[in-house]
Amino acid sequence: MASSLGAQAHAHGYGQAQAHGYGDARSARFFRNAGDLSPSSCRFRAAMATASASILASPAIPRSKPAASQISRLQTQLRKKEISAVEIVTEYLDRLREKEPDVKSFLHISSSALDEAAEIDGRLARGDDPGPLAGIPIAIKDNLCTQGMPSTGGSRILDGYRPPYDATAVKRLKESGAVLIGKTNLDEFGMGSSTESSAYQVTSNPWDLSRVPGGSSGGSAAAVAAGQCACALGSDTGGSIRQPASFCGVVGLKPTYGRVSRFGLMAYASSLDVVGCLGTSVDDVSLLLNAIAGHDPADATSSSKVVPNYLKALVPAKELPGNPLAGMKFGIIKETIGEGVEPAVAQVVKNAVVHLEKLGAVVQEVSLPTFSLGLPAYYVLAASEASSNLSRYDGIRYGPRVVADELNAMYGASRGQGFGAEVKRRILMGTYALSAGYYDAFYKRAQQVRTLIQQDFKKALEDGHILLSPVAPSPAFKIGEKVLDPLSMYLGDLMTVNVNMAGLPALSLPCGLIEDEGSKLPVGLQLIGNAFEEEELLRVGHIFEQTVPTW
Amino acid sequence: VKPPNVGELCEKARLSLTPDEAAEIGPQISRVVDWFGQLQEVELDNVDPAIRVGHEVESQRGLRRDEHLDFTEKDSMVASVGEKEGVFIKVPKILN
Repeated sequence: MASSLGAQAHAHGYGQAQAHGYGDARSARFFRNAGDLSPSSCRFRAAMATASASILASPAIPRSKPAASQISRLQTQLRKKEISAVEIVTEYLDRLREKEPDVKSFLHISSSALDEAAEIDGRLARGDDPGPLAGIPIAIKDNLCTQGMPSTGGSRILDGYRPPYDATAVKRLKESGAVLIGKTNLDEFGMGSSTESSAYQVTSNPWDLSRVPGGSSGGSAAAVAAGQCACALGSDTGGSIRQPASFCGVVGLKPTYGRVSRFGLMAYASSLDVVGCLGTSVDDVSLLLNAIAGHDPADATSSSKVVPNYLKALVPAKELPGNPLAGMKFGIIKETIGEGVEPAVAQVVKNAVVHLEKLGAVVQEVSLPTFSLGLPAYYVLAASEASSNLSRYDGIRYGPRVVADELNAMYGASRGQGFGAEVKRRILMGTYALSAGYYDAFYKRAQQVRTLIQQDFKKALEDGHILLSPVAPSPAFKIGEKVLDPLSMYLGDLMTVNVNMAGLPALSLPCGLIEDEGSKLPVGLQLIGNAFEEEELLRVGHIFEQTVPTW
Repeated sequence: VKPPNVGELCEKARLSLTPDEAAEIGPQISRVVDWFGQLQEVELDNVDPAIRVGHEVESQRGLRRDEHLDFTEKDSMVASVGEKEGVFIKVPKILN
């Protein structure tokens, strides 16, 4: 039975997504020399030729009623035997294949998804409980190691690499019965805010195919928005879950640093990286967090704090009292709603504030005076840590190797040909900032700014505030718009990087739409809480999404 | 502070750039490093540098037990090695 379903899967073409040969170094280097995506590259032209069409999924978005949990609905139907795991996975795989030529969210599609679903059905038939995510199709960002499945980090330097182990977060999803449907596209090694610096393909925003899905977890966000999976894992170092969630109109959670194990996440900046979740509702994101959170002996920075049941905090809309947020204090960060933010975005966020107030909340303006310094400080720290973390990609241990007579030449050529332009920039800037004699000028000062930012947050959150801000200064921009100027790309991260430097949890919640050149584009509201207080964020987020006017 | 010298940095980072790449990347890096200059304009005396996030992490609580753990997927690790000669793993020449 299992093998015929496996054959069925292959017949449907669910084998590995097209692999690019590393052998054609000339054409590969042409793409990289063209800054990954310059006007002269074929890939850029192909992306721009796509009409500004929108291919949103149903049932995901847009919606005519408040967001509902896909996971809960599917689990109920599964346990009542109204549907089988194979039918669930088939439905998502069909939609995945239908949308993929337009969205291109996936770098690899699992060839064993239907087999795994059949196994889940078998266990259910025998009276076993496969777990709270049984049969749920989940997409995994490609910088998370998945045993036996390609894991490229969006980079040529790991072309063909199949890890011998699962990342802890991945292992825990499997133990909960989830079916890993595939690996999603990302900016190379997580470095980027648009997914355009993937070495493999450009992912399009399902709301408008001529626009970016955001980054670096753009593939995961687009896949969730297009209904190609029920939910997804991503990673967030400077906003890489929250910003694509905002651009794609889905819910994105960046947990507290240490809440989820980083074991098996390809390290970009070890003091900033976290693994997190994306879904179409707060319920689903909470269920994912339940599965992946918790101490891991394999990650020395993971926390032993008890993991609560995040779902318990969520009250169904009809059981909410009249003023569900009565007595709650919120602080909207003054430095995020003024200059540098598009007026339309600021307006949507202010409307969200009015809605919170109608629910009984007290919202004040708070100031974080060192806010804008966070951006250069973040980029110094992130680039420095990246220059160290990426030194392991030497052409010896994994991935393609460029043969040379002498060791340094071999390193140089393997890395020179394996890394894309943005990664090279960050490695070189990080090498500069860490060079002898420059530590005081850059790295140390960035760490001192980090202290100030932590202190500012601590003070603002002391009064029991949840902090509010837009997630990004703009909605999704056009593919190709920012690639020629790295600095303009960095400036878009203003709202998100400080949260990583303080290690705090934050939720990105769809809160409205903006119209731009005939396209409707989502805007996300960012909620920031105290360390390990994801319950509060999810509770408030859930109340907001269940009561917000539909769109 | 001396501005970034792409050639020197490439040597430190073991990264080879083509002349075209170097010509393009040089000004891009310089522009970002100039922008980093904002950090010099802030008053930071008496501020401790933060190495990590503000809250305590597990590793600060002490050491783990000194006990042997076995990794079970050794076969697949060895299988993914590029070049082998019998039971030996072949690596490029290291010593000059």
